[in-house]
Amino acid sequence: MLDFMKMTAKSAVANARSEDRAQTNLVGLFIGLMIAAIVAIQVFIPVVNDAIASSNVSGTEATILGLLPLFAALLLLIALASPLMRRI
Amino acid sequence: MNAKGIAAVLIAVTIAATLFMPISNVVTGNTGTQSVVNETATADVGTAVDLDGYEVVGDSETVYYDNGSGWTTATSGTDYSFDDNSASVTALSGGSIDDGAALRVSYDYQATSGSTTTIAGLIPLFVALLILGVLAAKTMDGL
Repeated sequence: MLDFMKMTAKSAVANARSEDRAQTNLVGLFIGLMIAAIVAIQVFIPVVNDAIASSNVSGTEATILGLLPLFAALLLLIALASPLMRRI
Repeated sequence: MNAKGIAAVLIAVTIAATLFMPISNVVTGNTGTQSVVNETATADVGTAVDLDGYEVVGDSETVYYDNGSGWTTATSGTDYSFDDNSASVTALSGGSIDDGAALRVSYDYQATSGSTTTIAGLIPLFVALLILGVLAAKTMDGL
């Protein structure tokens, strides 16, 4: 009986720890994604666009550099979409 | 789910919801066509003064100068020249803008265009879906 109680208690503690970890991950995920979104859109995209505009690149180089903001936006969208697809 | 779990989910959703408006504002304030009103600069006759924007919409700029007797609208081509690509204003020698005069420049610029604007515009929607998804998933789990 004592062994059974000990096992039940251990199992409950393990479950609680696992749940705590899951919730911490959830909060971390939200904060991480929000910070990533703000940094990418408010910092990365304007800085890249400004750098392209003030440099003298042209042709293929300009085309590829011009795709960087698009890729940043895509990356962010995928980062937001993947937890959605997994239903958290 | 125990009470602690419920509290943690509510905290997570509250954080996300609180950050939703800033995310939405950041997206709308940094994508598509943006207007800048009265950005200040100091005239340096003959030298281009760089402004914050880039890819300025053609002929959308208005330049005001103050030589010490109040604000006056400057004339493009006579008083200043404007580079749309890098958003820089150059006071022309022989124009009415004195060296060191205070400038105020208003203009529209293309912060992002095409697919970037479209995809970035979807980000607030995905954030909202993520918040809703978490709530729905946890409710299904027996919240």
